[in-house]
Amino acid sequence: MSGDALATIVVSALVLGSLYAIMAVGLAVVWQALGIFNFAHGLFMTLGAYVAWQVASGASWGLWPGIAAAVAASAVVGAIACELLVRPFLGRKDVVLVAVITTLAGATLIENGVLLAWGGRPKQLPPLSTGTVDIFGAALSAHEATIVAITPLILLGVWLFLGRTRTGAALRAVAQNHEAAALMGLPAARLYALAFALAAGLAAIAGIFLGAIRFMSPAMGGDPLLKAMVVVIFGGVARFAGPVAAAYLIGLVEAVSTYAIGLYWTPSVLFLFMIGTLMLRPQGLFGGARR
Amino acid sequence: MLLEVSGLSAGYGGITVLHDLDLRVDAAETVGLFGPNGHGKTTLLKTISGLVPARGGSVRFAGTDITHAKPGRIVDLGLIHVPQGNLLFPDCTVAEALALGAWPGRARAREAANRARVEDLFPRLAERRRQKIHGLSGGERQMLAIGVALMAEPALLILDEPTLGLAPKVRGELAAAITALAAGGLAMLVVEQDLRFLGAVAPRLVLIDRGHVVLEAPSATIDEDAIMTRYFGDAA
Repeated sequence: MSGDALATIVVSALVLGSLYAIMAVGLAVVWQALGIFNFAHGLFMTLGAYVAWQVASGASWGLWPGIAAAVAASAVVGAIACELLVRPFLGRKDVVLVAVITTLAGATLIENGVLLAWGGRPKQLPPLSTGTVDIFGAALSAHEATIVAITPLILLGVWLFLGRTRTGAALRAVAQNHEAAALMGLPAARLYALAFALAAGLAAIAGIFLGAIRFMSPAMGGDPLLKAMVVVIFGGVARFAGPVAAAYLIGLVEAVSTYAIGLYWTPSVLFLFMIGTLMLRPQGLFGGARR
Repeated sequence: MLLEVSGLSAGYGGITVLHDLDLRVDAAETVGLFGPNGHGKTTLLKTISGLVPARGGSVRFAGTDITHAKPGRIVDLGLIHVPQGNLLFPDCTVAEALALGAWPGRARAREAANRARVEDLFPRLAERRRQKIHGLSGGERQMLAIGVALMAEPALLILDEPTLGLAPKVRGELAAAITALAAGGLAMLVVEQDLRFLGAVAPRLVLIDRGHVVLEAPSATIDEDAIMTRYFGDAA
Protein backbone atom coordinates (compact mmCIF):
# COMPACT_ATOMS: atom_id res chain seq x y z
CA MET A 1 0.00 0.00 0.00
CA SER A 2 1.42 3.37 -0.97
CA GLY A 3 1.67 6.23 1.48
CA ASP A 4 -0.89 8.07 -0.59
CA ALA A 5 -3.41 5.28 -0.17
CA LEU A 6 -2.77 5.12 3.54
CA ALA A 7 -3.32 8.86 3.87
CA THR A 8 -6.55 8.56 1.87
CA ILE A 9 -7.82 5.84 4.18
CA VAL A 10 -6.91 7.75 7.34
CA VAL A 11 -8.53 10.96 6.10
CA SER A 12 -11.64 9.12 5.00
CA ALA A 13 -11.82 7.27 8.33
CA LEU A 14 -11.57 10.54 10.28
CA VAL A 15 -14.23 12.28 8.19
CA LEU A 16 -16.64 9.36 8.43
CA GLY A 17 -15.85 8.88 12.12
CA SER A 18 -16.62 12.56 12.79
CA LEU A 19 -20.00 12.30 11.08
CA TYR A 20 -20.94 9.09 12.85
CA ALA A 21 -19.75 10.36 16.23
CA ILE A 22 -21.95 13.45 16.01
CA MET A 23 -24.94 11.37 14.91
CA ALA A 24 -24.36 8.62 17.48
CA VAL A 25 -23.94 11.04 20.37
CA GLY A 26 -27.36 12.50 19.49
CA LEU A 27 -28.89 9.02 19.63
CA ALA A 28 -27.14 8.39 22.94
CA VAL A 29 -28.38 11.65 24.49
CA VAL A 30 -31.98 10.79 23.62
CA TRP A 31 -31.51 7.26 24.91
CA GLN A 32 -30.04 8.49 28.19
CA ALA A 33 -32.79 11.04 28.80
CA LEU A 34 -35.83 9.10 27.55
CA GLY A 35 -34.79 5.46 27.23
CA ILE A 36 -35.89 5.22 23.59
CA PHE A 37 -34.26 5.06 20.18
CA ASN A 38 -35.15 7.86 17.82
CA PHE A 39 -35.56 6.65 14.26
CA ALA A 40 -36.34 10.18 13.07
CA HIS A 41 -32.78 11.19 13.97
CA GLY A 42 -31.55 10.93 10.36
CA LEU A 43 -34.29 13.28 9.23
CA PHE A 44 -33.07 16.04 11.55
CA MET A 45 -29.85 15.75 9.59
CA THR A 46 -31.72 16.05 6.29
CA LEU A 47 -33.78 18.95 7.57
CA GLY A 48 -30.68 20.75 8.81
CA ALA A 49 -28.94 20.38 5.46
CA TYR A 50 -31.96 21.69 3.53
CA VAL A 51 -32.59 24.64 5.83
CA ALA A 52 -28.89 25.53 5.58
CA TRP A 53 -29.12 25.27 1.78
CA GLN A 54 -32.24 27.44 1.71
CA VAL A 55 -30.61 30.21 3.71
CA ALA A 56 -27.09 29.93 2.27
CA SER A 57 -27.76 29.16 -1.41
CA GLY A 58 -31.49 29.73 -1.91
CA ALA A 59 -31.57 33.14 -0.27
CA SER A 60 -27.82 33.81 -0.65
CA TRP A 61 -27.42 35.02 2.92
CA GLY A 62 -24.17 33.13 3.41
CA LEU A 63 -23.21 29.82 4.97
CA TRP A 64 -22.88 30.87 8.62
CA PRO A 65 -26.40 32.29 8.92
CA GLY A 66 -27.45 29.08 7.13
CA ILE A 67 -25.74 26.95 9.76
CA ALA A 68 -27.32 28.92 12.60
CA ALA A 69 -30.76 28.68 11.01
CA ALA A 70 -30.31 24.95 10.33
CA VAL A 71 -29.33 24.13 13.91
CA ALA A 72 -32.15 26.26 15.32
CA ALA A 73 -34.78 24.84 12.96
CA SER A 74 -33.73 21.24 13.60
CA ALA A 75 -33.70 21.81 17.36
CA VAL A 76 -37.21 23.28 17.30
CA VAL A 77 -38.57 20.48 15.09
CA GLY A 78 -36.79 17.99 17.36
CA ALA A 79 -38.48 19.37 20.47
CA ILE A 80 -41.86 19.32 18.70
CA ALA A 81 -41.27 15.75 17.51
CA CYS A 82 -40.49 14.73 21.10
CA GLU A 83 -43.69 16.34 22.36
CA LEU A 84 -45.89 14.77 19.65
CA LEU A 85 -44.24 11.45 18.85
CA VAL A 86 -42.69 10.27 22.09
CA ARG A 87 -43.91 11.99 25.24
CA PRO A 88 -47.55 10.85 24.98
CA PHE A 89 -46.31 7.25 25.16
CA LEU A 90 -43.72 7.55 27.91
CA GLY A 91 -44.63 5.49 30.95
CA ARG A 92 -46.12 2.68 28.87
CA LYS A 93 -44.39 -0.65 29.32
CA ASP A 94 -43.92 -1.04 25.56
CA VAL A 95 -42.69 2.53 25.03
CA VAL A 96 -39.46 1.39 23.34
CA LEU A 97 -41.41 -0.45 20.65
CA VAL A 98 -44.08 2.25 20.32
CA ALA A 99 -41.38 4.90 19.94
CA VAL A 100 -39.79 2.92 17.09
CA ILE A 101 -43.10 3.10 15.21
CA THR A 102 -43.94 6.72 16.05
CA THR A 103 -40.46 8.06 15.29
CA LEU A 104 -40.39 6.08 12.02
CA ALA A 105 -43.75 7.65 11.19
CA GLY A 106 -42.30 11.06 12.00
CA ALA A 107 -39.29 10.31 9.80
CA THR A 108 -41.59 9.49 6.86
CA LEU A 109 -43.54 12.69 7.39
CA ILE A 110 -40.44 14.88 7.55
CA GLU A 111 -38.83 13.14 4.57
CA ASN A 112 -41.88 13.71 2.40
CA GLY A 113 -42.24 17.22 3.76
CA VAL A 114 -38.68 17.93 2.59
CA LEU A 115 -39.49 16.36 -0.80
CA LEU A 116 -42.59 18.53 -1.09
CA ALA A 117 -40.80 21.71 -0.06
CA TRP A 118 -37.54 21.35 -1.95
CA GLY A 119 -38.19 18.70 -4.61
CA GLY A 120 -36.14 15.65 -5.45
CA ARG A 121 -33.43 17.31 -7.50
CA PRO A 122 -30.01 16.84 -5.86
CA LYS A 123 -28.55 19.92 -4.20
CA GLN A 124 -25.19 20.68 -2.69
CA LEU A 125 -24.11 22.95 0.13
CA PRO A 126 -21.08 25.23 -0.16
CA PRO A 127 -18.08 23.87 1.79
CA LEU A 128 -17.25 25.18 5.26
CA SER A 129 -13.95 26.41 3.83
CA THR A 130 -12.58 26.27 0.30
CA GLY A 131 -9.32 25.00 -1.15
CA THR A 132 -7.15 22.10 -0.08
CA VAL A 133 -4.88 21.41 2.84
CA ASP A 134 -1.74 19.31 2.72
CA ILE A 135 -1.39 16.88 5.62
CA PHE A 136 1.29 14.19 5.57
CA GLY A 137 1.47 14.45 1.82
CA ALA A 138 -2.22 13.86 1.33
CA ALA A 139 -4.26 16.57 -0.30
CA LEU A 140 -7.32 17.03 1.86
CA SER A 141 -10.17 19.37 1.02
CA ALA A 142 -10.32 22.25 3.46
CA HIS A 143 -13.94 21.32 4.12
CA GLU A 144 -12.98 17.83 5.30
CA ALA A 145 -10.09 19.21 7.35
CA THR A 146 -12.56 21.56 9.05
CA ILE A 147 -14.89 18.65 9.83
CA VAL A 148 -12.06 16.62 11.34
CA ALA A 149 -10.84 19.59 13.37
CA ILE A 150 -14.09 20.97 14.78
CA THR A 151 -15.88 17.70 15.53
CA PRO A 152 -13.77 17.01 18.64
CA LEU A 153 -14.57 20.54 19.85
CA ILE A 154 -18.30 19.96 19.36
CA LEU A 155 -18.07 16.61 21.13
CA LEU A 156 -16.09 18.19 23.96
CA GLY A 157 -18.77 20.84 24.32
CA VAL A 158 -21.54 18.23 24.54
CA TRP A 159 -19.48 16.17 26.98
CA LEU A 160 -18.91 19.19 29.24
CA PHE A 161 -22.59 20.10 29.08
CA LEU A 162 -23.73 16.57 30.01
CA GLY A 163 -21.06 15.91 32.61
CA ARG A 164 -20.33 19.27 34.18
CA THR A 165 -23.61 21.20 34.31
CA ARG A 166 -26.64 20.77 36.50
CA THR A 167 -28.94 20.65 33.47
CA GLY A 168 -26.76 17.97 31.90
CA ALA A 169 -26.92 15.87 35.05
CA ALA A 170 -30.69 16.34 35.13
CA LEU A 171 -30.93 15.11 31.51
CA ARG A 172 -29.12 11.92 32.45
CA ALA A 173 -30.95 11.51 35.77
CA VAL A 174 -34.54 11.84 34.66
CA ALA A 175 -34.76 8.49 32.83
CA GLN A 176 -33.04 6.63 35.66
CA ASN A 177 -35.77 7.25 38.21
CA HIS A 178 -38.93 9.08 37.18
CA GLU A 179 -40.41 9.20 40.66
CA ALA A 180 -37.28 10.55 42.36
CA ALA A 181 -36.86 13.10 39.56
CA ALA A 182 -40.45 14.30 39.99
CA LEU A 183 -40.04 14.54 43.78
CA MET A 184 -36.93 16.70 43.30
CA GLY A 185 -38.79 19.07 41.02
CA LEU A 186 -36.93 18.17 37.81
CA PRO A 187 -39.10 19.33 34.87
CA ALA A 188 -39.22 16.04 32.95
CA ALA A 189 -41.15 17.27 29.90
CA ARG A 190 -38.77 20.19 29.36
CA LEU A 191 -35.72 17.96 29.85
CA TYR A 192 -37.04 15.46 27.28
CA ALA A 193 -37.63 18.25 24.78
CA LEU A 194 -34.15 19.62 25.49
CA ALA A 195 -32.55 16.20 24.86
CA PHE A 196 -34.35 15.95 21.52
CA ALA A 197 -33.47 19.53 20.60
CA LEU A 198 -29.79 18.95 21.42
CA ALA A 199 -29.70 15.70 19.42
CA ALA A 200 -31.49 17.32 16.46
CA GLY A 201 -29.16 20.32 16.52
CA LEU A 202 -26.17 17.98 16.41
CA ALA A 203 -27.74 16.04 13.53
CA ALA A 204 -28.19 19.32 11.64
CA ILE A 205 -24.46 19.97 11.94
CA ALA A 206 -23.77 16.47 10.58
CA GLY A 207 -26.13 17.26 7.70
CA ILE A 208 -24.20 20.42 6.88
CA PHE A 209 -20.94 18.45 6.95
CA LEU A 210 -22.33 15.81 4.61
CA GLY A 211 -24.26 18.19 2.34
CA ALA A 212 -21.05 19.65 0.96
CA ILE A 213 -19.39 16.25 0.39
CA ARG A 214 -22.22 14.31 -1.22
CA PHE A 215 -25.33 15.47 -3.00
CA MET A 216 -28.28 16.20 -0.79
CA SER A 217 -31.54 14.34 -1.24
CA PRO A 218 -34.58 13.95 1.00
CA ALA A 219 -33.34 10.42 1.79
CA MET A 220 -29.78 11.50 2.67
CA GLY A 221 -30.22 10.87 6.41
CA GLY A 222 -30.96 7.17 6.07
CA ASP A 223 -27.46 5.85 5.57
CA PRO A 224 -25.77 7.91 8.32
CA LEU A 225 -28.56 6.95 10.73
CA LEU A 226 -28.01 3.28 9.95
CA LYS A 227 -24.28 3.68 10.58
CA ALA A 228 -24.96 5.59 13.80
CA MET A 229 -27.21 2.71 14.90
CA VAL A 230 -24.35 0.30 14.24
CA VAL A 231 -22.12 2.62 16.26
CA VAL A 232 -24.39 2.73 19.31
CA ILE A 233 -25.01 -1.02 19.23
CA PHE A 234 -21.26 -1.39 19.05
CA GLY A 235 -20.17 1.21 21.56
CA GLY A 236 -23.15 1.33 23.87
CA VAL A 237 -25.08 4.42 24.87
CA ALA A 238 -24.60 4.44 28.63
CA ARG A 239 -21.33 6.31 28.53
CA PHE A 240 -20.26 9.20 26.35
CA ALA A 241 -16.90 7.77 25.28
CA GLY A 242 -18.42 4.49 24.04
CA PRO A 243 -20.25 5.75 20.97
CA VAL A 244 -17.50 8.28 20.16
CA ALA A 245 -14.75 5.65 20.11
CA ALA A 246 -16.99 3.24 18.22
CA ALA A 247 -17.83 5.93 15.65
CA TYR A 248 -14.18 6.45 14.72
CA LEU A 249 -13.60 2.67 14.68
CA ILE A 250 -16.57 2.11 12.36
CA GLY A 251 -15.31 4.99 10.21
CA LEU A 252 -11.95 3.24 9.96
CA VAL A 253 -13.46 -0.13 9.09
CA GLU A 254 -15.60 1.52 6.44
CA ALA A 255 -12.64 3.41 4.98
CA VAL A 256 -10.43 0.33 4.84
CA SER A 257 -13.20 -1.79 3.39
CA THR A 258 -14.11 0.82 0.77
CA TYR A 259 -10.47 0.98 -0.32
CA ALA A 260 -9.75 -2.75 -0.23
CA ILE A 261 -13.08 -4.35 -1.14
CA GLY A 262 -15.05 -1.56 -2.73
CA LEU A 263 -18.06 0.59 -1.97
CA TYR A 264 -20.58 -2.06 -2.96
CA TRP A 265 -19.68 -4.64 -0.32
CA THR A 266 -18.75 -2.22 2.45
CA PRO A 267 -22.16 -2.22 4.23
CA SER A 268 -22.01 -6.02 4.37
CA VAL A 269 -18.51 -5.87 5.81
CA LEU A 270 -19.69 -3.43 8.49
CA PHE A 271 -22.57 -5.61 9.53
CA LEU A 272 -20.39 -8.75 9.48
CA PHE A 273 -17.91 -6.90 11.68
CA MET A 274 -20.71 -5.90 14.03
CA ILE A 275 -22.29 -9.35 14.19
CA GLY A 276 -18.90 -10.96 14.75
CA THR A 277 -18.08 -8.56 17.58
CA LEU A 278 -21.46 -9.01 19.23
CA MET A 279 -21.05 -12.80 19.13
CA LEU A 280 -17.83 -12.43 21.08
CA ARG A 281 -18.93 -9.52 23.27
CA PRO A 282 -22.74 -9.37 23.49
CA GLN A 283 -22.56 -6.35 25.79
CA GLY A 284 -20.86 -4.28 23.06
CA LEU A 285 -17.26 -3.22 22.82
CA PHE A 286 -17.16 -0.86 25.79
CA GLY A 287 -19.50 -2.43 28.29
CA GLY A 288 -22.59 -1.30 26.46
CA ALA A 289 -25.94 -0.12 27.75
CA ARG A 290 -27.07 -1.22 31.14
CA ARG A 291 -30.72 -0.93 32.20
CA MET B 1 -50.19 25.47 60.57
CA LEU B 2 -47.71 24.21 58.01
CA LEU B 3 -49.51 21.20 56.53
CA GLU B 4 -53.23 20.63 56.78
CA VAL B 5 -54.79 17.52 55.27
CA SER B 6 -58.59 17.53 55.50
CA GLY B 7 -60.99 14.79 54.52
CA LEU B 8 -58.51 13.37 52.03
CA SER B 9 -59.42 10.31 49.95
CA ALA B 10 -57.21 8.67 47.36
CA GLY B 11 -56.56 5.29 45.80
CA TYR B 12 -55.59 3.32 42.73
CA GLY B 13 -58.04 2.09 40.09
CA GLY B 14 -61.13 0.69 41.77
CA ILE B 15 -59.55 0.63 45.22
CA THR B 16 -59.82 3.49 47.67
CA VAL B 17 -56.90 3.44 50.08
CA LEU B 18 -57.41 6.66 52.04
CA HIS B 19 -60.83 7.44 53.48
CA ASP B 20 -61.65 10.95 54.68
CA LEU B 21 -58.26 11.38 56.36
CA ASP B 22 -57.27 14.37 58.49
CA LEU B 23 -53.71 15.24 59.49
CA ARG B 24 -51.83 18.38 60.44
CA VAL B 25 -48.21 19.31 60.99
CA ASP B 26 -47.30 22.60 62.68
CA ALA B 27 -44.25 24.67 61.94
CA ALA B 28 -41.04 23.20 63.43
CA GLU B 29 -42.99 20.13 64.54
CA THR B 30 -42.03 16.50 63.90
CA VAL B 31 -44.93 14.12 63.51
CA GLY B 32 -44.47 10.35 63.47
CA LEU B 33 -46.75 8.25 61.31
CA PHE B 34 -47.12 4.54 61.86
CA GLY B 35 -49.48 1.68 61.25
CA PRO B 36 -49.62 -1.73 59.64
CA ASN B 37 -48.20 -2.19 56.13
CA GLY B 38 -50.65 -1.70 53.29
CA HIS B 39 -52.91 0.64 55.25
CA GLY B 40 -52.20 3.81 53.33
CA LYS B 41 -49.17 5.52 54.84
CA THR B 42 -47.16 5.61 51.63
CA THR B 43 -50.27 6.48 49.60
CA LEU B 44 -50.93 9.39 51.96
CA LEU B 45 -47.40 10.73 51.47
CA LYS B 46 -47.60 10.29 47.68
CA THR B 47 -50.95 12.09 47.59
CA ILE B 48 -49.54 14.98 49.62
CA SER B 49 -46.55 15.34 47.28
CA GLY B 50 -48.68 15.11 44.12
CA LEU B 51 -47.64 11.68 42.81
CA VAL B 52 -51.07 10.15 43.44
CA PRO B 53 -54.15 12.27 42.56
CA ALA B 54 -56.51 13.12 45.40
CA ARG B 55 -60.11 11.94 44.93
CA GLY B 56 -61.61 14.12 47.61
CA GLY B 57 -60.73 16.48 50.41
CA SER B 58 -57.88 18.96 50.40
CA VAL B 59 -54.20 19.41 51.17
CA ARG B 60 -52.97 22.85 52.20
CA PHE B 61 -49.29 23.65 52.63
CA ALA B 62 -48.04 26.93 54.10
CA GLY B 63 -51.35 28.57 53.25
CA THR B 64 -51.49 27.32 49.65
CA ASP B 65 -53.94 24.74 48.34
CA ILE B 66 -51.78 21.98 46.79
CA THR B 67 -54.50 19.31 46.50
CA HIS B 68 -54.16 19.09 42.74
CA ALA B 69 -50.72 20.70 42.28
CA LYS B 70 -47.98 18.98 40.25
CA PRO B 71 -44.99 17.51 42.14
CA GLY B 72 -42.63 20.18 40.74
CA ARG B 73 -44.81 23.01 42.08
CA ILE B 74 -45.02 21.34 45.49
CA VAL B 75 -41.21 21.02 45.58
CA ASP B 76 -40.94 24.72 44.71
CA LEU B 77 -43.09 25.52 47.75
CA GLY B 78 -40.61 23.66 49.98
CA LEU B 79 -42.43 20.38 50.66
CA ILE B 80 -39.82 17.69 50.00
CA HIS B 81 -40.71 14.00 50.03
CA VAL B 82 -38.04 11.29 50.30
CA PRO B 83 -39.78 8.15 49.04
CA GLN B 84 -39.40 4.69 50.51
CA GLY B 85 -36.28 2.80 49.39
CA ASN B 86 -35.20 5.71 47.17
CA LEU B 87 -32.70 4.37 44.64
CA LEU B 88 -32.00 7.86 43.28
CA PHE B 89 -29.98 7.82 40.04
CA PRO B 90 -27.62 4.81 39.89
CA ASP B 91 -25.42 6.20 37.10
CA CYS B 92 -24.96 9.67 38.61
CA THR B 93 -22.36 10.57 41.21
CA VAL B 94 -23.05 11.59 44.80
CA ALA B 95 -22.03 15.18 43.99
CA GLU B 96 -24.35 15.27 40.96
CA ALA B 97 -27.31 14.03 43.00
CA LEU B 98 -26.70 16.74 45.60
CA ALA B 99 -26.47 19.37 42.86
CA LEU B 100 -29.77 18.11 41.43
CA GLY B 101 -31.29 18.43 44.90
CA ALA B 102 -30.67 22.16 44.60
CA TRP B 103 -32.69 22.31 41.36
CA PRO B 104 -35.43 24.64 42.72
CA GLY B 105 -34.44 28.23 42.04
CA ARG B 106 -34.88 29.33 45.66
CA ALA B 107 -32.27 26.72 46.80
CA ARG B 108 -29.49 27.90 44.47
CA ALA B 109 -28.23 30.90 46.41
CA ARG B 110 -27.27 28.88 49.49
CA GLU B 111 -26.21 25.73 47.65
CA ALA B 112 -22.61 25.68 48.91
CA ALA B 113 -23.68 26.27 52.52
CA ASN B 114 -26.32 23.56 52.29
CA ARG B 115 -23.81 21.13 50.81
CA ALA B 116 -21.44 21.80 53.69
CA ARG B 117 -24.31 21.23 56.13
CA VAL B 118 -25.25 17.91 54.49
CA GLU B 119 -21.64 16.69 54.47
CA ASP B 120 -21.35 17.74 58.08
CA LEU B 121 -24.44 15.70 58.95
CA PHE B 122 -23.32 12.70 56.86
CA PRO B 123 -19.50 12.76 56.63
CA ARG B 124 -19.58 9.54 54.57
CA LEU B 125 -21.15 11.43 51.68
CA ALA B 126 -18.17 13.78 51.61
CA GLU B 127 -15.84 10.78 51.29
CA ARG B 128 -17.89 9.34 48.42
CA ARG B 129 -18.51 12.61 46.57
CA ARG B 130 -17.18 11.38 43.22
CA GLN B 131 -18.57 7.83 43.43
CA LYS B 132 -21.50 6.58 41.40
CA ILE B 133 -24.66 5.98 43.37
CA HIS B 134 -25.00 2.33 42.32
CA GLY B 135 -21.84 1.60 44.36
CA LEU B 136 -23.25 2.96 47.63
CA SER B 137 -24.46 0.79 50.51
CA GLY B 138 -28.12 0.89 51.52
CA GLY B 139 -27.36 3.17 54.46
CA GLU B 140 -25.25 5.56 52.39
CA ARG B 141 -27.97 5.71 49.79
CA GLN B 142 -30.54 6.63 52.43
CA MET B 143 -28.17 9.30 53.78
CA LEU B 144 -27.79 10.65 50.26
CA ALA B 145 -31.56 10.63 49.71
CA ILE B 146 -32.01 12.76 52.84
CA GLY B 147 -29.04 14.94 51.86
CA VAL B 148 -30.52 15.53 48.40
CA ALA B 149 -33.79 16.56 50.05
CA LEU B 150 -31.97 18.97 52.39
CA MET B 151 -30.29 20.61 49.37
CA ALA B 152 -33.78 21.79 48.32
CA GLU B 153 -34.14 23.79 51.56
CA PRO B 154 -37.28 22.03 52.75
CA ALA B 155 -39.88 23.80 54.86
CA LEU B 156 -41.36 20.35 55.52
CA LEU B 157 -39.39 17.14 55.07
CA ILE B 158 -41.31 13.90 54.53
CA LEU B 159 -39.39 10.68 55.18
CA ASP B 160 -40.95 7.33 54.26
CA GLU B 161 -39.37 4.56 56.35
CA PRO B 162 -35.83 5.99 56.30
CA THR B 163 -34.35 3.03 58.18
CA LEU B 164 -36.10 0.27 56.22
CA GLY B 165 -33.87 -2.77 55.79
CA LEU B 166 -30.79 -1.18 57.36
CA ALA B 167 -28.40 -2.71 59.87
CA PRO B 168 -28.82 -1.55 63.51
CA LYS B 169 -25.58 0.48 63.45
CA VAL B 170 -26.53 2.47 60.35
CA ARG B 171 -30.05 2.79 61.70
CA GLY B 172 -28.59 4.45 64.79
CA GLU B 173 -26.57 6.89 62.67
CA LEU B 174 -29.66 7.86 60.69
CA ALA B 175 -31.76 8.20 63.82
CA ALA B 176 -29.16 10.56 65.28
CA ALA B 177 -29.14 12.64 62.09
CA ILE B 178 -32.94 12.83 61.94
CA THR B 179 -33.10 13.79 65.61
CA ALA B 180 -30.52 16.52 64.98
CA LEU B 181 -32.62 17.84 62.08
CA ALA B 182 -35.72 17.92 64.28
CA ALA B 183 -33.80 19.66 67.05
CA GLY B 184 -32.66 22.24 64.49
CA GLY B 185 -36.30 23.24 63.98
CA LEU B 186 -37.03 21.48 60.69
CA ALA B 187 -40.65 20.35 60.41
CA MET B 188 -40.87 16.67 59.50
CA LEU B 189 -43.41 13.98 58.81
CA VAL B 190 -41.75 10.60 59.39
CA VAL B 191 -43.14 7.15 58.64
CA GLU B 192 -41.54 4.30 60.56
CA GLN B 193 -42.37 0.82 61.79
CA ASP B 194 -39.97 1.03 64.72
CA LEU B 195 -42.05 2.73 67.42
CA ARG B 196 -39.14 3.30 69.78
CA PHE B 197 -37.23 5.09 67.02
CA LEU B 198 -40.29 7.10 66.08
CA GLY B 199 -41.07 8.04 69.68
CA ALA B 200 -37.52 9.32 70.10
CA VAL B 201 -37.71 11.67 67.07
CA ALA B 202 -41.36 12.70 67.07
CA PRO B 203 -43.18 14.20 70.05
CA ARG B 204 -46.57 13.45 68.44
CA LEU B 205 -47.54 10.13 66.87
CA VAL B 206 -50.37 9.35 64.47
CA LEU B 207 -51.60 5.79 63.88
CA ILE B 208 -53.12 5.02 60.49
CA ASP B 209 -55.22 1.91 60.10
CA ARG B 210 -57.26 0.91 57.02
CA GLY B 211 -56.87 4.38 55.53
CA HIS B 212 -58.11 6.24 58.63
CA VAL B 213 -56.38 8.06 61.44
CA VAL B 214 -57.38 5.94 64.42
CA LEU B 215 -55.15 7.38 67.13
CA GLU B 216 -53.30 10.64 67.64
CA ALA B 217 -51.36 11.23 70.83
CA PRO B 218 -48.13 12.56 72.34
CA SER B 219 -45.56 9.80 71.96
CA ALA B 220 -44.96 9.64 75.71
CA THR B 221 -48.53 8.46 76.29
CA ILE B 222 -48.55 5.82 73.55
CA ASP B 223 -48.88 2.38 75.01
CA GLU B 224 -46.65 0.13 72.98
CA ASP B 225 -48.42 -3.02 74.14
CA ALA B 226 -51.76 -1.69 73.04
CA ILE B 227 -50.27 -0.95 69.62
CA MET B 228 -48.80 -4.41 69.36
CA THR B 229 -52.21 -5.83 70.18
CA ARG B 230 -53.63 -3.79 67.33
CA TYR B 231 -50.98 -5.15 64.95
CA PHE B 232 -50.91 -8.75 66.01
CA GLY B 233 -54.08 -9.39 68.05
CA ASP B 234 -54.21 -10.41 71.68
CA ALA B 235 -51.15 -12.20 72.98
CA ALA B 236 -53.26 -14.54 75.05
